[in-house]
Amino acid sequence: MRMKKDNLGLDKVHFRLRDALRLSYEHLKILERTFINIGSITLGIMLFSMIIFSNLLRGDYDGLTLNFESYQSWLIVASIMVSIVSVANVMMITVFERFNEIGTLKCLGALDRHILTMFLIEAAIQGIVGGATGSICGLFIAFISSAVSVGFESVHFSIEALLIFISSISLSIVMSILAALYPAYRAAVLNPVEALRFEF
Amino acid sequence: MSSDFVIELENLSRRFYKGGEVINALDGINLQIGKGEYVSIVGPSGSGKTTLFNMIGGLDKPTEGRVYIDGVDISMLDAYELAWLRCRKIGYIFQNFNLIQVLTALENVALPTVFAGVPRDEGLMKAKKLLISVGLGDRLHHKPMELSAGQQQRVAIARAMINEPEIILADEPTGNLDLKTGIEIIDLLHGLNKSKEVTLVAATHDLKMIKASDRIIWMRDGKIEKIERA
Ligand SMILES: Nc1ncnc2c1ncn2[C@@H]1O[C@H](COP(=O)(O)OP(=O)(O)OP(=O)(O)O)[C@@H](O)[C@H]1O
Ligand SMILES: [Mg+2]
Repeated sequence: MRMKKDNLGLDKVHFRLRDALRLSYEHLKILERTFINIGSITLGIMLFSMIIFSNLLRGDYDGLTLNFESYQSWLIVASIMVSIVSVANVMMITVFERFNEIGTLKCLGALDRHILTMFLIEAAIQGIVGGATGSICGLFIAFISSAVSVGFESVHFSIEALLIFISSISLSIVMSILAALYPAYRAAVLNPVEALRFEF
Repeated sequence: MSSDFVIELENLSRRFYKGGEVINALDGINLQIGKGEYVSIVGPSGSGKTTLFNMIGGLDKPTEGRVYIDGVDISMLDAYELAWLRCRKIGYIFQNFNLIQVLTALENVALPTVFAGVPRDEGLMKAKKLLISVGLGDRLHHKPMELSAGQQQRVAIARAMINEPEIILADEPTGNLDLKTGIEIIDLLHGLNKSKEVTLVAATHDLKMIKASDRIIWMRDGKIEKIERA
């Protein structure tokens, strides 16, 4: 009795990666939250990379086998957990603050997964930056402490440092996305009506 | 049954259950709105105007009854199709503008074209033209916070128009504006309604807005109390 769906001329909605990046970037430019997140990631990664870099610089590095002493492993695990919780916490607040935006985006045609993508991109970017700063700080501290303990002449540098950088940043991205997963999911499944009713 | 109507509501009800109590936000609404019509929805606070908009806009699902847009029952649409409907068929205007704070006026207006898959340059060009046409050619790169309330609502109107929707849903578009700015916004919406043949449905308390419309729907307690032709 009624028209078929085709009468609407239905088509797909889009959200190109470039556009998602652009929107994420505009949010990251609001520095307070971004700094807190990057700061927590930096601290978590710093300890991890510092310990490996120390091993490398003192010459007892044998590949990324992660053969830490057990107290070191515990420290690393604990510091990474603390970072994750902290980033998740800040992300959750960010999501609450952006209820209105999320509701609006959905009115304009955003799908759940577009919202998810947007928040995960923000997390990934913070992960990359936090990973980079964290491993640079880690290297710096490892260098100073090795130079002090074994003497400046016996500090070895090798190409493996690059590998440590890359693995630190990878760990950092994984960490950051893991932390953002739940907040981003909450944002994505938000009902637009409820999101827009919500007033501060 | 043919559908010369852009919007048809059939026995539409929306109930909320709150602590054992039932709220009939909408209670058996039947209404047909034709192409290019300008309809005002009037009623006291809590009479169900916003709930009605959410139904027409595909933002919320009815407890009973159906919403047809262009003759298509929108309860048959999946999440992707609903998103497309919101993106291309319907423009939303809110009392509190709901602009994205981190984006400029130009980017806000162009945002719906992103979801519509329009190339970026084309979207920005179109957004610029629209902003000029609503009198904000000199505010393209301002953020919402740097604009007056009336200017923000103009940005929101341009954003609602950019994908050339068939329907504009405006929920108290002049509610946060002073008298003079309110009149300007009404004139703008009315002009768009006439020149672009876009169907305009506006909830309002504003007598000036009501006067400009083709029909006035009076609501009370989730029901249509009376319909007046202006
Ligand atoms: N999510 C909800 N949960 C419970 N009750 C709701 C919800 N949304 C709306 N209602 C109720 O439905 C009724 C209609 O609300 P609605 O927001 O549609 O009114 P309105 O006509 O838009 O009012 P106003 O002029 O104040 O904006 C009210 O009694 C309201 O309390
Ligand atoms: Mg309302």
